Amino acid sequence: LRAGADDYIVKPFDISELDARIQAVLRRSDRPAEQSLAVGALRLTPDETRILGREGTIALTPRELHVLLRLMKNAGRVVTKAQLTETLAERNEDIGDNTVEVYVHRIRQKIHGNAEIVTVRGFGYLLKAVEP
Amino acid sequence: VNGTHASASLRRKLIVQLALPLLGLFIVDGALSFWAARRYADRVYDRWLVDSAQTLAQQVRLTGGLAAFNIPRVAQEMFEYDAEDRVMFRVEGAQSGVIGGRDVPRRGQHEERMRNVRFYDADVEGAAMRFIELSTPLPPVGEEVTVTVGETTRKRDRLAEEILLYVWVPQILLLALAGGVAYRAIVVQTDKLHALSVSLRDMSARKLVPVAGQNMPAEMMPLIEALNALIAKLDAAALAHRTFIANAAHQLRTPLTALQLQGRAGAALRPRSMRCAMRSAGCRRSCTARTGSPTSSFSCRGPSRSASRAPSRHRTDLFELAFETARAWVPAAMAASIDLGFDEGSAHAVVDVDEALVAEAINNLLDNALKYCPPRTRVTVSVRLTRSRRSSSRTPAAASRPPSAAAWCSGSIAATTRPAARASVLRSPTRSRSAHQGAFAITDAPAAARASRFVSQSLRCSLLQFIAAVRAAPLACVCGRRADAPRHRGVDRLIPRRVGTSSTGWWPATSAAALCGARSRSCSAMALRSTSCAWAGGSSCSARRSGSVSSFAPRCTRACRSRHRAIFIASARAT
Repeated sequence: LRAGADDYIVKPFDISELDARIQAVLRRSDRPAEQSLAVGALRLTPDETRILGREGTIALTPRELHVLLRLMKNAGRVVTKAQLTETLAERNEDIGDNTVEVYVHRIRQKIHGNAEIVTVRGFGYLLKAVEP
Repeated sequence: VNGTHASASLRRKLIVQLALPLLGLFIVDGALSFWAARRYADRVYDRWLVDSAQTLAQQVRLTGGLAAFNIPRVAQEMFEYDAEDRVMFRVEGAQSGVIGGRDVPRRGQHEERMRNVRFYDADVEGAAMRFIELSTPLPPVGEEVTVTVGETTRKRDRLAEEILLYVWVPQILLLALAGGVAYRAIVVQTDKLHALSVSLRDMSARKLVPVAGQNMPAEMMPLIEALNALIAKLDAAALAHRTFIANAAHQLRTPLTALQLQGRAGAALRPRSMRCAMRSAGCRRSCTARTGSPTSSFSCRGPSRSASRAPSRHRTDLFELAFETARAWVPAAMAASIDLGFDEGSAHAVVDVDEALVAEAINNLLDNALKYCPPRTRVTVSVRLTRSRRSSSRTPAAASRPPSAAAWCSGSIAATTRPAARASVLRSPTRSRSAHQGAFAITDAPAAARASRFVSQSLRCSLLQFIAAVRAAPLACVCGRRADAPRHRGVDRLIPRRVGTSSTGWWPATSAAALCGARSRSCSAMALRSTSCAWAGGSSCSARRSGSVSSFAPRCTRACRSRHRAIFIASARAT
């Protein structure tokens, strides 16, 4: 599963079970795209170009948008610093030792009151909703 | 083999199957010997008869143109005399007719011819006789003279019997000797089967040892190997059952004891307020829940599954494994207001482990940490490299439990409320420890009291083994520390000091006490005793939260009531 499979089944298996699993995977793949991503008061526009907060669009740079997008897609789960670094590296950014910290700091300031980025010691960051 | 199943006795079958051919061989050999004896006896006496006939033929003379046999009567009687046999002869010329001797049978049975001699048997006056008939021309006229000599067969019969006797007696003795050797060989070989059955019969559920294959024939080795494989499986299953029962007994004992203590405390003390009564009822409910959780765990985890899966080892970066495993606990830790973190200074340790088992062990430890540590506790997961893998000390409470499982039973009980952790309650600690030959320990060091409590349960080893282990591979550790407790000097060094300075006994406690600034060794020992009751089932942990340790565990000292640190250590041998 970690290699990218959707499901697995161990031998010996029943053909009907295999068929049922295939049907389930097909059902999942046919599911319509999720509604716009939202964490707390943060909402991603359908075109994934803007983040909306309580007071309207939050001004984010493309780099910040991608970092926040990564956090929002993993809301409630820890996103490691390495994963965020990887996100930035995909855009051919120059990654320094504290690049991630800088971006997270900026994003924190911009989304203040809408959601909270929690630093999980040693693990990374976690985006969670905040009560209004 | 003996008596009861005589009809199916392998020994008897082997003996019968060997004896019948031997008996047949003896009969055939006896018949051949008899035939040979008769033949050679006949040959000897036939030659004597031929010689006699030739002698008589030489006495035939030509007289008046006719053959004449002019032997004195006395000489003829001397020729015919024999003390045992009766001898008779006749001399006959082709033209002269019978010229000597008496009338003898001209035809008989078993006729044979050899050049000018004819042999045959005939009866004369009821006595079996052997005759030879020699035909020779009488020079110079060329009249053919026929000399017939016969005698009874008494001497030759006796000679044949003697020959037969001299042949048969040694053969019978040799046959008896061969039979004895064969019987001995059969008995010796079948006794090995008997010994095998005895060794199997002497086994019990607690004494399942492989059958010794020494001195066993090669044909039996597949059977012995199959039996040993079966015994190994049975032994593993029996061990799994015993371990399961021991764990079950241990896990049930503590909440039941807590319930009993609650009952006694409730009977002895009058509730001072509704709040006290409610708190007591809550504790009882908690104990009851803990009693029920292991029961459901036992029902869903049969003992047969404990030994069903062999560890599947792979080279694994323990850093990654611990990181990913612990990361999944972050949301739960945040929900419990516990600061769960990962030591960024952790080392990358590539070890040969079963990922599932080690992950279960880490899950189990973290579940315990999150469950028993109060809010605002700081729990740090770290992977450290040390030089040793073994240390040993046993708590008094662990003496009645399987040595390898004692400390883990303590830490596992409260994990039954979480499905993922519940799955690992019984199996993961002991299986992971035994699979990786590592050591697991749960330590508990009260910080504010400046005393230490330490529970360590791991393999015992001799000093030499320990010295060898010190030089061996690194370890990985998972530890947690209460955040609001004052940073205790020495605790950070506890793990490396612990594994690197001593081998057996109570030293971890004393070392920890020394490192932590404990007042004396007796203080450490006292703390150990209290630990054994405090951590036996985790009941006192909830008691600590409620501030009523003494009512749950009367033997606990003041040190138990203080704020404490919990250090969870799991180690696996690296390669």
